[in-house]
Amino acid sequence: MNDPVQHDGQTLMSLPRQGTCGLLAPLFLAASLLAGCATPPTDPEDRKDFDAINDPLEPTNRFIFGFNQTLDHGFIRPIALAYRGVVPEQGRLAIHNVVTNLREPWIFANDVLQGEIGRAGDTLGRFVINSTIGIAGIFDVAGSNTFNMPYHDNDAGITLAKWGIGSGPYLVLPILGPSNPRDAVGIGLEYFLDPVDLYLSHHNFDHHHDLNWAVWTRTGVEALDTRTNLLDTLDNIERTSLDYYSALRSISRQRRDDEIHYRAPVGSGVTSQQDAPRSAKAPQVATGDAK
Amino acid sequence: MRIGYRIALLAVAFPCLMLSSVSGRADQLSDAQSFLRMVIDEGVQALTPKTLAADKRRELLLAFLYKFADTPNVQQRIIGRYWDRATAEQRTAYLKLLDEYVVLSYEDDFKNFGADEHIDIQNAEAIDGKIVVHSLDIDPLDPPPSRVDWVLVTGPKGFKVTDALVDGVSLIATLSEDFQSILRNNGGKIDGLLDVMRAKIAQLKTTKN
Repeated sequence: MNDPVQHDGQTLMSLPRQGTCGLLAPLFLAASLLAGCATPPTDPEDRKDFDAINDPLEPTNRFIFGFNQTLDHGFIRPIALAYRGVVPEQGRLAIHNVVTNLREPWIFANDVLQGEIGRAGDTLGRFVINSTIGIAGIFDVAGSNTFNMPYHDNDAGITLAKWGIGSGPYLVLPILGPSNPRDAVGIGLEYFLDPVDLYLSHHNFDHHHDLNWAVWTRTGVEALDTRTNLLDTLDNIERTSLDYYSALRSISRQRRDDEIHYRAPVGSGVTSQQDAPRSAKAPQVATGDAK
Repeated sequence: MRIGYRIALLAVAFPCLMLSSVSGRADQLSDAQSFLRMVIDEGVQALTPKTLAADKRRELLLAFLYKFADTPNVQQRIIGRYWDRATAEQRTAYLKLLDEYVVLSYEDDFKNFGADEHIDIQNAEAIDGKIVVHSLDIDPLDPPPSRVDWVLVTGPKGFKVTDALVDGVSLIATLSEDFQSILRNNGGKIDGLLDVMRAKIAQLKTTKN
């Protein structure tokens, strides 16, 4: 059975941040002007549903979702399909490992900000080992049985959540997709503070050329890698759902909640945010009617 | 004297009752794991052979779901409070369409089950009156493993599966939000949902042919 949402720690919420934010603001503004907020229903039961769904911007979100779908079907998905068709699996794995390795400094920063010192040590160890023995991150040597330091993802949205900041209502971001105000702030923080991009954009190796092209290249490759890994998953959700927008909203929220709270058993081989016993966070069990 | 006797009795009985309760719960969790092992073994054996004809796989999958899933409860939970609004005819139509929709949507998961893929059952725990059995779906060709948490309820005929969460994503919660969104956008009309379900089933059949 295929994992419906996750591939090697990458999720719908982990699309790249760099470079795209500047493009997104005017798009988002235009979409907001064209659409609007949903009117809260007057019927008490409908109102209860409306509050539980927490998507007051649904008309705007659906508009942006439609834009994203058009862009994806016309441009991004075909490129991802071509990439998967042309580049052999081992090559794609090597590229995936490199872009993952470049995320480690940002993951390290968030591990520290969350007070997860053990995990921060693992992340630092991974970055050092994979950047050297792993030849610039091409091979995930740290994740092998020899070092036993499996990859875990982390980001500023999770840090804000751990600091007790609520997610706010559901939000669909242009290009980036399902999100919420807290995670959007997290994306913004990463845009300005990601250590690798800061280094590249401020370092002028030969005093004539900056390395902004490297930032954009990294963004593009990371986006391509993520979209390629999600090809089958998203195709399947789109094919089987009655309302793709709602299905994706539900799945992305549940995944995000799991990313924030789930603690994987040590040595389970499961990619997750945490490394504590499973019972520390039990799965959410529906206790009655789902709505 | 009488009070002292009762206290003495309680002092002896309470730990015994506690031990008996803990032992009973442990047995129940162990039984739940055994039940799930049996369900998975039967599912893999009956539904995953690549040579199985599509119609036969759908027929077996439906029978499998009715045998092991908490079927009436799950069917109603998917449309939530709208179940009470539906007429008898609408309910019958909905249940028939749901069977067809579920089978068409999920048959490929069984068909594409890897030759070396297996479900590794781990611990079980009681949560909110239900039993959650944790497992890992391990496919050597598609790492890392996925977490699958099976939510079981106990009924008069034993355990039934009432939900499954893959990497924290609940199958029933997702279906529920999907279906109820259609209902809300159609003013709560069941016939609107039935029309969308018919269209989706037709589309799923077309893409498979």
